Amino acid sequence: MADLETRLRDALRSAGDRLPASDDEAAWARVAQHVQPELTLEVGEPEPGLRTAAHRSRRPGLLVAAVAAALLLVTVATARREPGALVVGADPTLPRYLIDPPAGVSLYALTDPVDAEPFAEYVVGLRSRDDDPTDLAVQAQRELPKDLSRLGAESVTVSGRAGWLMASTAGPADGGIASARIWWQDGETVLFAMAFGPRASDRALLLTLAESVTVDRSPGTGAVRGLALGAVPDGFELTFDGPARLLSPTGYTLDYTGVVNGEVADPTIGVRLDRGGLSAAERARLYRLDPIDLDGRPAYVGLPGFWVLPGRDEPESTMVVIDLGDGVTATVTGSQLPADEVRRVAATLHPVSDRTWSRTARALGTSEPPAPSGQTTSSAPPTSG
Amino acid sequence: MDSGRRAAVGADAGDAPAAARSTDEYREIFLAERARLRRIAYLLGCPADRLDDVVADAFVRTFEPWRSGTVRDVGAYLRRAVVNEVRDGSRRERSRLRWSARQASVPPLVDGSDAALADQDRVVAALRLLPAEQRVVLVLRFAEDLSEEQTADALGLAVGTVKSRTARALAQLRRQLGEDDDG
Repeated sequence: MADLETRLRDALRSAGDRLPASDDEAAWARVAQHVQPELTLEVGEPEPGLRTAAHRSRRPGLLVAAVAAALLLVTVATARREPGALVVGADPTLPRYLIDPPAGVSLYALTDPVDAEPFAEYVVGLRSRDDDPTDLAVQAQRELPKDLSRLGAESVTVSGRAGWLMASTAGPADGGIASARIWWQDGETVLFAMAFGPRASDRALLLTLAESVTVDRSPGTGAVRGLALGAVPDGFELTFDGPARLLSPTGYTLDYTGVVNGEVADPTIGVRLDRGGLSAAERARLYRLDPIDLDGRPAYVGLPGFWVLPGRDEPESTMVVIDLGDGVTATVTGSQLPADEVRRVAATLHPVSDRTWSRTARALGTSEPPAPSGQTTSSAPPTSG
Repeated sequence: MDSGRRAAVGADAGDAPAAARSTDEYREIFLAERARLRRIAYLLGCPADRLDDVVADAFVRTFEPWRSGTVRDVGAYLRRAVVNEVRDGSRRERSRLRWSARQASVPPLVDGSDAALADQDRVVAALRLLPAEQRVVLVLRFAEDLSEEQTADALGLAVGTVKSRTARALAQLRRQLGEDDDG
């Protein structure tokens, strides 16, 4: 038998030939629906801002100028609708910061988690530090699965509350994926912890994780704002699957989500402001952002102390930590965006006066603008267990 | 796949001035690259019934950067988009509780009695059980024939990391295939 590398190469190359057939034209029709139609105008030289327009007509003139003006107005109007986004810290004495959305991505503040399909977002991800493919995650959901009894879930107790644990072990025949899940209720919210991988059937691990979960709720409404972990099980580290705010037991974050084809979708950018800076251990885990980034383009300068931490195996899951001085740290995380796009967003972070802050909050239609410096915020910080 | 068409499209479209890029050109790229990207997506663990979705999403995401002229190598950009689509798709699926059922089932591509095809199925099935970070390195190295340096560049990793992951992935693959002693 040939050596493994040769067999692997042959297998991988032949795999495509044996995939189920799929019609090219039908597939293209799906893509074509989502790529922008072109303008059917032409001028001698494309003007700045019109580079994406096709140029076919040979009559430059008023029509082109009118279109250019219209596009400019649209651009300006769009910019006015998105004057920037507020970056919030738990500490009301933190300076005011704004951050600007990246080009091509519409951003908005996720202010109403109930109406914005929050629960799939409330995921705290953990991954084992070694190559053991175990993943853990915690999330909140609205209802208990209706078929728990048929699934064979057993009763357990989590933080004094009734819970239901279901574990499955799987052998190579069914993919080698073992999993364990536990549900329990906290008020009106159903919490859910799960684990995948060889250690997933370790019920003690999962119960430890579940016991450490606390829920952050909006005062008054009781709506779930996020989850926090009081303890990370031995051998695991936090990953950045969820919004950045979930990783911070002390800081608030506004989350911004891209709108794709009119629907809330990825990419996601999270921004967080904290007092306290980075510990030596945290600094040791981060890579200093070099003057020349991975793609050979100049990195952003102007703010002290940039670091970037790509995901373990995910070049487009990026965290940029910015030391703003005076013990204040900003953290910008992005998923499904190129690292330089996340850095571009991070580079727009800039301090503003309280007056500018208030004006921006009004322009954004923020229903609950944070209190001015020196006053108390209206929301309690998330708790940690 | 039509490799000749792919090469021609890649050379033309990749270097074309931004203002000249059109949906017609993009369609040519789509037709040339689609089969390759479907294969990559499958090898990375994408369920067969999601291949077209993943590839379509990658093309939609790539269109604007390509048209605006910021994409230097559209083939590489699309490949990276597919890698991310598969990875993030798996994550979303997991968080919505459907991941396990899908991942637990790795059907063979054919009901092959042919020994060579059966062995290829075993290898592919074993590959799909590797951790994602190992799997993607093997796919880029052995399916896409990227060098260690190119793989490192595509994934934003150090070359040494690619080397070590490749070695670990091959060792793990041998274990999955029950061939620890075969070297």
